[in-house]
Amino acid sequence: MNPVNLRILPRRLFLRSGAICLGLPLLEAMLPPCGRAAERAREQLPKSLVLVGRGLGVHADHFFPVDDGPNYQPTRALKVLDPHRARLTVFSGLCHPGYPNTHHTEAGLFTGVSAERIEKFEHLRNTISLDQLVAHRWQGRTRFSSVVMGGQVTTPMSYDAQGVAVSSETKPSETFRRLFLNGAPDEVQRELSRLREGRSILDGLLAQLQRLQQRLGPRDRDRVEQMATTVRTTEQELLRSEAWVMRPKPRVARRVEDFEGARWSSGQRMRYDLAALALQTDSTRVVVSTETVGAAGEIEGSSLDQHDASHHGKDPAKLEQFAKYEDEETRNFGLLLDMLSHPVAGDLALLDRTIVLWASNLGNPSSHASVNLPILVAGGGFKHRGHVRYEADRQVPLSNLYLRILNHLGLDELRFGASTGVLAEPG
Amino acid sequence: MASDLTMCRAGYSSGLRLIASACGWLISWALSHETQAADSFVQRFCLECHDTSTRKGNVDLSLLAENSPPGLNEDLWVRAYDQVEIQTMPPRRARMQPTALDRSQWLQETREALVNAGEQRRRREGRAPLRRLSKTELQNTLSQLCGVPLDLALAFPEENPRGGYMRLGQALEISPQHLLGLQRAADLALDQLLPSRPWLSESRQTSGAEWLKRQQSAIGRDWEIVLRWGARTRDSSALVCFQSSQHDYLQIPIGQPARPGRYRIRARLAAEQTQGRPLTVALILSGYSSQPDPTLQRILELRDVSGTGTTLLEVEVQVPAQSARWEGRSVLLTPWSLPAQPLREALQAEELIGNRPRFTGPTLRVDWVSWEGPLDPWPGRGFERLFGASRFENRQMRDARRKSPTRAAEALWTKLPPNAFDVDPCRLQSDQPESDAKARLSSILPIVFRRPVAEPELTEFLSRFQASFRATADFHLAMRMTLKAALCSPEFVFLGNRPGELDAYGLASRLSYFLRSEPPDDTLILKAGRGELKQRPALFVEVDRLLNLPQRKPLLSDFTDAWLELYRIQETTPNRAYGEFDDGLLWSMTRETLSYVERMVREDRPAVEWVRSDWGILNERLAQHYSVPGVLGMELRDIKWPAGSPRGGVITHASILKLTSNGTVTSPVKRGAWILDRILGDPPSPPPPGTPAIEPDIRGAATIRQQLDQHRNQPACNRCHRVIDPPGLALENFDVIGGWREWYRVLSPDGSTATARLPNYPALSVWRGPDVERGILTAEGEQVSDIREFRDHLARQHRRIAASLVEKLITYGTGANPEFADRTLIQSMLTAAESQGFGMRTLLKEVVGSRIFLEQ
Repeated sequence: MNPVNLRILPRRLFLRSGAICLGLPLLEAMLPPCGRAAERAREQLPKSLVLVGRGLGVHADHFFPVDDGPNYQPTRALKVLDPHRARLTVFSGLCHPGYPNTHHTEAGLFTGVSAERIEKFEHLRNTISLDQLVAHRWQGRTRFSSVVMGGQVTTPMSYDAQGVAVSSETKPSETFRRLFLNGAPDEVQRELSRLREGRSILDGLLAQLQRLQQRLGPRDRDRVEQMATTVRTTEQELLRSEAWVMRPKPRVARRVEDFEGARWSSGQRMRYDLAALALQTDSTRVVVSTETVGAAGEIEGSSLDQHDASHHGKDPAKLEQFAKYEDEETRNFGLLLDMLSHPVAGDLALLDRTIVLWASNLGNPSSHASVNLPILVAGGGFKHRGHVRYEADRQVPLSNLYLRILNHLGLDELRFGASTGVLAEPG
Repeated sequence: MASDLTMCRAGYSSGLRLIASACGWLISWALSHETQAADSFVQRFCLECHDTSTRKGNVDLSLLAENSPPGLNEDLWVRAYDQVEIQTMPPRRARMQPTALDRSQWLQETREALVNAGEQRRRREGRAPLRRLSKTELQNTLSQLCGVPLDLALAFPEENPRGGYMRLGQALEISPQHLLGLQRAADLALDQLLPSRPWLSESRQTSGAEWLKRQQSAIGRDWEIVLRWGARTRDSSALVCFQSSQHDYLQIPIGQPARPGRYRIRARLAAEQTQGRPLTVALILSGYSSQPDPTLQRILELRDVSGTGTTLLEVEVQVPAQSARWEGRSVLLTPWSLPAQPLREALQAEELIGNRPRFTGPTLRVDWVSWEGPLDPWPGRGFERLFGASRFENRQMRDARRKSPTRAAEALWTKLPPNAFDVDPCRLQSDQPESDAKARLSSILPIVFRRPVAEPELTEFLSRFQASFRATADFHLAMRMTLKAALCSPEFVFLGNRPGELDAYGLASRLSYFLRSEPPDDTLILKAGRGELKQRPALFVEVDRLLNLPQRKPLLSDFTDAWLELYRIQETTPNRAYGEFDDGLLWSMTRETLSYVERMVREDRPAVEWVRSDWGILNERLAQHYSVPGVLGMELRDIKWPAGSPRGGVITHASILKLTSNGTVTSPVKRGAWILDRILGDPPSPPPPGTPAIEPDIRGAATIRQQLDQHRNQPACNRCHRVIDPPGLALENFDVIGGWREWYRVLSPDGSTATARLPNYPALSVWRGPDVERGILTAEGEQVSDIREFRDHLARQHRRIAASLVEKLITYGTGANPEFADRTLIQSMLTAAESQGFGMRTLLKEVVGSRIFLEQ
């Protein structure tokens, strides 16, 4: 079977090709091109979320525009993204109020956990991150409830409901394998029996927990009770995996070799590539890509490590070094937006139903300041407003934006992290 | 990488926080005469500033005034108690001052109430919560069970530092990721325990020349080979290496691919043209590593090759099993201490092709390298222990055995082709599945659960076996499934029991995981069964035995990691201005600290030596870094510090100085806070929320000291920073990687910056900046000139250092932080250990022998 181009795809061929996925064979290519029916169909199209987490912030002058609204003069970083201006909102003045000024706030970037739980990293008690909350609500709809890729400066950025870091796939080639390469029939069979065995073990665990409970004090009994809930959740997870394991994975016109030998910048591009492929094939609707620290020599003209350069102390030479990494990152990010915004049949681009959030936990990496974070939201069908500025003094929680994103995705949460309300922007 | 100059605006720290630990024991609280008195004390002396509306320093004590028993808001009560006890509250300038009697009466009443509250809670719930094995403990436990080292890096979620390192029960969560990770880990262990194909222990020896020939066929170009690996000696018997580098090494191809297990590596080596100085070789584990610190994880051994004659190297290494995609692991030998790329140009200029280079620099001669293993005969140590003489074979082996029952077991399979086991793997066999399963399970489950197993529990697992056997009619599968269930069961994964005194087995587990991060060995279980752990002397015999057993890793290294935060050693990479920093230094500095702790334990060294000692543990790399002459080779050894040396004690270890720096610059605030927290046991409160970060401006000429002075002199900041800054400033003479400095290095030179050479790194030229200022005023008002005097200042507080250490040992050993009710006990432990100068081993025993450790 040849790999198929998913952009122009008669439904019948699609079905015949065996690439059909449970719950979502509904690609834009199959939609009627225009009219009301098209619009309704469009509304039914699944939404998705892409988070890009960056541990090293930006230099404010290179990022935040001077003027507000849609007609801002693009800064160095935004110039690269200018083709997407109509589908972008740049936020300034947002933060997670009360966060300490350290790299470790990376752990709270997407969780917005309340300040006292992150104030000392050694006592971190994290809460669920944006991506995992959405993934949890949408689980079962796609083969993978989320795809979490990339590295970090100090700590992971994706956390489950218990505040446990979700392990991130550091090798793009491994992610590609997981998403698109089918195992041999006997491997699939083994995987299936492993999943069934797993469920049966969890089943027995419940009885064992009950027996354990009998000999514990009240505090531990409560914890064991919570564990029983966790066991049931895990059982559901395995059950869902079983439903998918026998179905062939979608085929794409890429090979695993395309994702090998990742370096700092090429790794970023590979992850973005994978994100686009994963969304196009509806393998997942939640993607997280987090950045690692670039090493000197990784990109042309860089003679300092990215972290070293981030502590520029206003020294112009170091600032320029830092900017080289920034430029590369925004350029790569631009490529992601390009990939997602290719108009497909009926003028619908993935970007119009995919919220892409680009965010850092540091407003100023040179001082580790955790205020005035560089935040960018693209796509998602928002009525974008250009540059939206909040006075930094107001300490508007980034979690309020997260809440807005959640609501926009159809999750009717009333709170997220330490949110105090919901942002009106992006429109 | 905490922010450097975090400036504090608020006057008081936000330390007091309302953590309502609402427990049922409110009911048992009787409104007594004492509470009323206590209330009136709080009302009279505290509420003026700390009521709900004023909340000075963000502290609201009104909760304590409303007849609230100390069981609620316990943290707040304790903080208030401490402030009143050391008489910092009420402040001297307050209008209302308690009399000495008021104070002591209130203190006594509050103390009694808090202790009572703690005791009641302890009776109801146990002091420490149930806790899951941490990732390291799980890895060690499964490795011990299956008899093969496992690497769970990819199989099991990473722990967060709070739970994983200090092993706090409350922090070791159970999420779906853990449940699935546990199943992956169990699968990995069972694959190793029940290996599908048999093996023979093999051994291979390769001469240096042969090895080189192999490279030649791979690469072909002569001069490149010479540069990367070396050349043949004139008589073609050996290989001569000229240089080391990250990628070039002698790969010792253990198996193809390497089967996980123990191996013995041997090599005959000689250091040549070194003027009698030794050279060092490193044995490194190749292959994929997901560890955050690959350098430190993958170096298996560093060994010295004598500068005279030949050295016969013999090392036992472990090749771990991991669940990663197969990448073929092997062991690499690299001439570690040879310079990277020496005189590459010079060698090339000599037109090496066809010529023998006349290289006069140091070289390593490799006569031969050999490996032998796996050292454990099939089916392995774990199998022997758990299954003993159970039949384990494939169909072909079974048929062969039936044909000639007298043949040696090995003869049954050595003739089979290697792929025979792909389609027909070895399996557990049984003619009487039911009774065999029962016999096996009743001997295996107690090992897995670290205690005897009662009949109903055995029946439960047996019925699991039966169910699985009914479904599959496959003894092997059913047994494997039952064992997997046991390895995923709470009885295996959790430590902890009912409130009250631990039973003997619970104590054995706690003790073994505390001292060795491993499950109890057979001796300990035996002694537990005989009730011998009940008596203190017998218990201490076990402590000594466990501490004296040979260990793969330095003694208590997991505790050291957590206590001194060594896990953060690679959090930052030093700026390029620190050209002397390399992997050898990184490895050595970590080892220095681990070995130091080990010697403190082995020799029961006094607590004062945590901050001041006349001995140290160095190798050549550290000796160069510390400018100590006469230490040759990379193996660590005890040394005496030269008179007047600023070194001695862990606080001057390069590792500690590195992990308390910000990578590019030192941070007295970070270092000061570290000493207060880790050494003195009095962690400063984090900066108040909203404290703006101060952006460093490296263009200016102000030293960090000048900036800090300015900051500390603001009244609002002074309260905390007069305590935090001095220890940090005392360490200012140490740079970001722990080197001694009299002046700062400039990171961004301008036209007028002068260069300077470092005496211990003569090849290195750096930019010279302003001098490091001296003279520190301690929080106690003592004037000290530099680190030497500051060490003495700290050394005088050795009881406080010991107390801090005991608290950390308690947290680590029991999985729960010390609480108010433990205070008296901790003081009596200290008093008992005082005559030994609070020796490390004495403290360990005091902790183990205390009620805190012996009770859940």
